[in-house]
Amino acid sequence: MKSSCKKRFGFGSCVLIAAQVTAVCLFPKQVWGQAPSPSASHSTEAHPDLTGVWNGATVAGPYIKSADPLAALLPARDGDLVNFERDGALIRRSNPNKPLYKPQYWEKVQKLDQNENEADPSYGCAPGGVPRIGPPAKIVQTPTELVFLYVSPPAQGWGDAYRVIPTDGRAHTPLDQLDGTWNGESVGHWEGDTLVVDTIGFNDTSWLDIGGYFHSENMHVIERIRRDGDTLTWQATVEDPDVLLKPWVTNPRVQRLNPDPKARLPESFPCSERDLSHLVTKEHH
Amino acid sequence: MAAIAVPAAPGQDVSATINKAEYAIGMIRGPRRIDAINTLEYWGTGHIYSFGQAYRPGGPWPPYKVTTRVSLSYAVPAMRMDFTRDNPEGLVQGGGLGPLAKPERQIQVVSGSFAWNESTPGAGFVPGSTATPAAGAVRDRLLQLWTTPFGVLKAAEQAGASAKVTIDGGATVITFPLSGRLAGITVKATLNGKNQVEKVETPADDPVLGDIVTETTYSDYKDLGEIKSDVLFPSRIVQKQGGFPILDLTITKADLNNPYVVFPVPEAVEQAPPPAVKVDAQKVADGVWYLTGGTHHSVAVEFTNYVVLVECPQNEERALAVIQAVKTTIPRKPIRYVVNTHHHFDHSGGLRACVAEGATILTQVDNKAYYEKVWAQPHTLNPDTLAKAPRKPVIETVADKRVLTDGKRSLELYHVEGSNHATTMLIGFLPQEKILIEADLYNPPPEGALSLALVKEKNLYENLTRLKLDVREITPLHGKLVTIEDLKKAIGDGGSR
Repeated sequence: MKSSCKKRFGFGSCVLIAAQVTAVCLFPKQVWGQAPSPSASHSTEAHPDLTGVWNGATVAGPYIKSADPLAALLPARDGDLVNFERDGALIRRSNPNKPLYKPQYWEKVQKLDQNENEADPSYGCAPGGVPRIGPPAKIVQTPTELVFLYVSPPAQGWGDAYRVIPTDGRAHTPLDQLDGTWNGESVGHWEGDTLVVDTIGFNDTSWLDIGGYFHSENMHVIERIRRDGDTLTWQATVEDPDVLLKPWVTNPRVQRLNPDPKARLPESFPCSERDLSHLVTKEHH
Repeated sequence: MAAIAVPAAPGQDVSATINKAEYAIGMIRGPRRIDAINTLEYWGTGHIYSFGQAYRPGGPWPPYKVTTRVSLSYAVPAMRMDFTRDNPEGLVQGGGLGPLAKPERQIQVVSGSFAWNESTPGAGFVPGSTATPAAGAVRDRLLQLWTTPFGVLKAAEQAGASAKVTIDGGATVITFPLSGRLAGITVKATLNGKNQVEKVETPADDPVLGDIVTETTYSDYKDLGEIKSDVLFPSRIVQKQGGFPILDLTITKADLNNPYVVFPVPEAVEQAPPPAVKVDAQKVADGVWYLTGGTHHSVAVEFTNYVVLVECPQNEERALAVIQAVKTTIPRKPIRYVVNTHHHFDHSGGLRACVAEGATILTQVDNKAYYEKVWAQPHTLNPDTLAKAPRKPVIETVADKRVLTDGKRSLELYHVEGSNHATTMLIGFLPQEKILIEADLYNPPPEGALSLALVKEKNLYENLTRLKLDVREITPLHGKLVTIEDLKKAIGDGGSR
């Protein structure tokens, strides 16, 4: 996931936000509040109940050494503020799981990545879109539909978002009758204990992730969501034969249930792009 | 005085040394101090040299100008070396398929256990492109990957307790064995005063030279990225093999931000059968066989009591297959002589097997001392037949001309004058059959293929004219059977270009 707070909020804000991110990692209970017990949700009896606030700390957990006050604020090499951006950019791109584009698009992906500051729609405060938006922060489940609620990560400018996913067995609207959108049109069904969300009808503006991972309007995304106790595992498969040589399966993301029964979703940070005209290098942020 | 390697000071932890070196070039990042380098690309210009293709025996490898783009992934692991050779400054003396009529692009790829050559990046997935399997190159290409500055430190870390640190001449040296497909290779990495990888040495086996060392030096580390990353990469890379440079690159740019580079393996490469050594014997005249089946051909000439084999090429594997083909085709006659057309390694790499077979080597006089010297070098890494059962090579020489005859058939050997390819070039001529045997001077291309610069072809024709050889057919040791008319036509075509 990208961190671009410096552009949007200025460097001082960046430190503040990073501190909040760190705090979220370290103290999720205090920040996010309490979710209702999953057993109290209204759900079908035949399927697992996914209802709940799934914005607890990632399973990987906090990793900042609190003994170093600067390192506790910024995920940076040696706790040096200067290293914050460069280390983050390098590490974010070290993920070996890359979508495999057709060779004629390799240079395009590289160029988009190099010019990310201008090319990434996320930098212009556009929505993340499916699948980049990732797993929902909250799920409300009924017998015939699920509602996914999203809160933009502090360093992103995606804003709040929602998706309503019918599970009543309906089919997709024919693709040629759909206007392409950021999140597309989703329908859901269950495969055993796994919720499968099938989505088509995208615009070709969003990216799959950082790195210049563009897609076409013919993209087809299949999300698989499975609950195991108090964890929720989300993984998406992206099919886009127009530009990809083979389907791309994202890394699985595991979310923890927020144990606070009164947990509320926070409001996303507002996004107002105003730094682009001041950037003098292509350095990633 | 030779420097003596001593163990590192007590307490100098191998892991800490590797970690320090990784940190020094910016691999270790973030508060968790993880190795964040998975992919990179670099661009460079300089010279690439054709190993084993010296103009004179014992001389340096011939240089070509080169521009290159290298993409690699340590996670796969995979590497794509896309380079364009050229000789814009004029004729290159020596081998390596030069002189080049126009810039020549080669794209060499390795990915996991597969290696192939691409006509364009991503060949096999692009309509009209060609991906040619190169299974024999997997090990060499992976070694290139794991001896880059980042790769060698990752590999050292992977070696764990097998890695050792010593102090050699004041420099810190990490020595460790590689594993997997590169098992059996021990790497020696020397660090400079800034803990940057300065030199990497790996042993290699060469069919001609025996045990050799590939030495790569890295210097002048900088952040060469258009987008700064604090990752340092050497701005100069020099690689030597057999005592002479094989690569000298000035790195002009490096993308060290884990760029998007991928290496899908084409189906044709994945499903390619393992390469097999094949020898086809084609009778071109009574008692004369053209032995083909690979990239390098031979010719067997039957005399009353023995066989003369022209060329024992490439390596022991090929040479043994050719020897076996001769025994099958011309049974009950020993190979008394093996004619070596010239000293280039692809044409002399099988000679040791022919020496072990008991044949007398016939070569140009300037090769004798060189062969005697290099064949005495140890072959411990991959002992060949001669190393396992040593015998003194019997080498006879040809100055300008020599004739082998049994009274019924003659094989004339001539030194080629004025060759730009090799000073020691010989051609063979069968006067009764009017058949010419030559290597590298005229490689008849497939129909429609572009001819090279024709310098060698013209030189061959000049020599045939000078020697007044009445040639009808040509059995080239590369390419296909042709006639003298084909050579004349090629030269005529070339003259009009």
